[in-house]
Amino acid sequence: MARVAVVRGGRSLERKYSLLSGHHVAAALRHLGHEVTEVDVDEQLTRSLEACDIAFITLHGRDGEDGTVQLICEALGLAYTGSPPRTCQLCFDKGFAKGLLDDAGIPTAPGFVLSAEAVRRMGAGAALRRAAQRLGHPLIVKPAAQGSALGLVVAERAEALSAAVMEALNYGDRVLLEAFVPGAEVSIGVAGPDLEPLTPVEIRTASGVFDILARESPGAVDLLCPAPLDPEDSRRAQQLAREATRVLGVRDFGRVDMRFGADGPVVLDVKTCPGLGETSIVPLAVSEAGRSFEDFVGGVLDSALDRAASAQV
Amino acid sequence: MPTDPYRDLYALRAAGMTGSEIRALFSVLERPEVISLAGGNTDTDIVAHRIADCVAAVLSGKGATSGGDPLGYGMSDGVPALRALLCDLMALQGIEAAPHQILPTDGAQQALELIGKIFCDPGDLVLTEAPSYVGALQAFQSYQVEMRSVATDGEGLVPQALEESLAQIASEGRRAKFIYLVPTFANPSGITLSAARRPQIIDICRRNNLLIIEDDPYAYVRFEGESVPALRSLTDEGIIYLGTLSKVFSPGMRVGWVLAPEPVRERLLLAKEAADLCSSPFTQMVAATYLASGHVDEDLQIVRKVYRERRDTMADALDAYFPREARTRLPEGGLFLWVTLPDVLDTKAMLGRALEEGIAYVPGTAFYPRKSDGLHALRLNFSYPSVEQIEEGMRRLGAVVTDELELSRSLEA
Repeated sequence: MARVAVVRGGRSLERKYSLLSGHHVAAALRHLGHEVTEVDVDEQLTRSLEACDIAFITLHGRDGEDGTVQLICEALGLAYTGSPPRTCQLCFDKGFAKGLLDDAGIPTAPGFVLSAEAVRRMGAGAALRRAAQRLGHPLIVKPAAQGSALGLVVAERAEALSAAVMEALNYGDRVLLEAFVPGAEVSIGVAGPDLEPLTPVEIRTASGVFDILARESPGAVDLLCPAPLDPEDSRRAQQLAREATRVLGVRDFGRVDMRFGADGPVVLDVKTCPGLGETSIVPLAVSEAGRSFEDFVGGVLDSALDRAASAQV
Repeated sequence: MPTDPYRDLYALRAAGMTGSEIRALFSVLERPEVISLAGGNTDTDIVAHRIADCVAAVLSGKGATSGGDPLGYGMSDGVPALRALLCDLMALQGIEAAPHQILPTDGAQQALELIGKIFCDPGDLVLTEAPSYVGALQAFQSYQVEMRSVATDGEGLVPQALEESLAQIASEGRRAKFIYLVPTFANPSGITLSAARRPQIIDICRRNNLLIIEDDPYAYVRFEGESVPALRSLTDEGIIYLGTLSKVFSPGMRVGWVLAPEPVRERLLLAKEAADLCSSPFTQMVAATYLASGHVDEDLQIVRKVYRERRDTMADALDAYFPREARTRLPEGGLFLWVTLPDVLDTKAMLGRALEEGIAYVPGTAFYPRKSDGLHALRLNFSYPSVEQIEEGMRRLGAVVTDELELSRSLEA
């Protein structure tokens, strides 16, 4: 049995969701007989990690999904779950990830990224307006590096652009303008050494957008598992999820969010550390496959421990 | 499989409960580096030693109450000694009341909930000031009422606006159930309904058969200026008065009360029995012992001095660190500063950035029934944080606001 540090909470605005993920994972690990310590991100983090055999990282947003804690683990020579720092950094920046996926021929929603600094110092407000014109309305405006739908706004008209950009830039220093792809929103988890796709999950909201208000309103979100897709679409989406995660170097587990547009699925986001709370998408899909959450968590842990053992050989 | 397998079972009033973006973000408040100007807490250190003494006295049977087990069930209509002492306390506000007219509640918040329960049917109209206390909005809206705001200015609720609102409602063939007011140091605005307007408002309500809910938590926390009589001290008809010891004693003790006309009190009592059987006899006895201790005046002097200093620190910091377009009205008491920013800034959208910078506040939208109102305002609490925290917090928030304003101007350039 391993001494496991479940890293959860953190400084990110997604702290609430990380705590939910962390508690769920910690309970599963304890059920499996591991010695679990739940740790937060503070001045004692490195010392806490050093006292363990492995870090199970369930941080969302800053520090966890941007590769910061993974880099600490690498420096310590400590085994850790999930994707390596480079992949975290790539996926956390939606603009970089989109570029790499485009290069690999994986369909994404067209978009542009601009920084607050460019707006402040280089008159890039005009470029944002031009980009919005090119993409058309409605338009998704969101922080280039943020999760949990924080700061995501649908700008229905050109007049709504400035307020939407201001909101997105409150959650990061760069904003992503992305074409709105009408159609079903589907998330697909991947897990295991071969990044095996899990059952697709459709996210339905009353407003049609999975934003933070929908997330926080009881009953406002329905997760349909399996997503009501025809078998061919389902296979296509799963294949796309596996390709996208492979291109970006995702490891152990991840999640790909996509929309089914008129021309088929397009990838919106690749998550290296998706929600693992009791009502999160990946645990739901794991359960749908007839697998226990403990089995999933144990598999992730064992992969990371095996990897560390191989590296030492 | 739906996310919530029980969804089809909920009552309509529960299905209509909406969430808040703010709630998720506020989980970072437990981080030590975040300074919170968001809550409505008081500085309980001021009275903590008194509470310890009162707790010991109650548990050793030496409290200000005779009979009754502090750790057992109590009567639904409260500890008699507490009701008598609350009458003495209200007398300081010029309110004449008898113990049998009082119903102790779990904070004044429970009184709001009970009022919603006995008065409000789905679709009923309820009037409030604009802005208004968020806890009252939530309590009434959970009973599926339609809330309408009545305009306020620097002297509080505008009588003419109330007349017009009632005329409009009458023209629709409808009737408002009641108007909810915090007439003294309103939460969040800090505005006090002027002495001149108080009889006018009472008169308008009487003529229109409109019940007044007077929520009066802050009257004892006046730093300066002339005291203004409670509405309930001007008339005992058509008013339900809510009091609380949360601002003068301890919010955590959850001791509030309702002073209501007898038929209303009877219904509230029945509703309370169904809700919780009784408020905690223990906390009621501790509160009674404190009120009987003779230290209330002395402690209130300290509370007023401390909060006044903190208010002044906050107001000075607003001048020093915020863009000159930021506006506030210095309240003569209470716990809050209500700040209005230039209308290009959305304080709800700005909250994420502020939290990243380690400073929390409550966006203005929380205090309006319509979520499109209050976008450019925010509420800051000065009673809980220390002077040093206020200074540092305002410096951080001022930097965020200044930067946001610059970004907004650049964006439009």
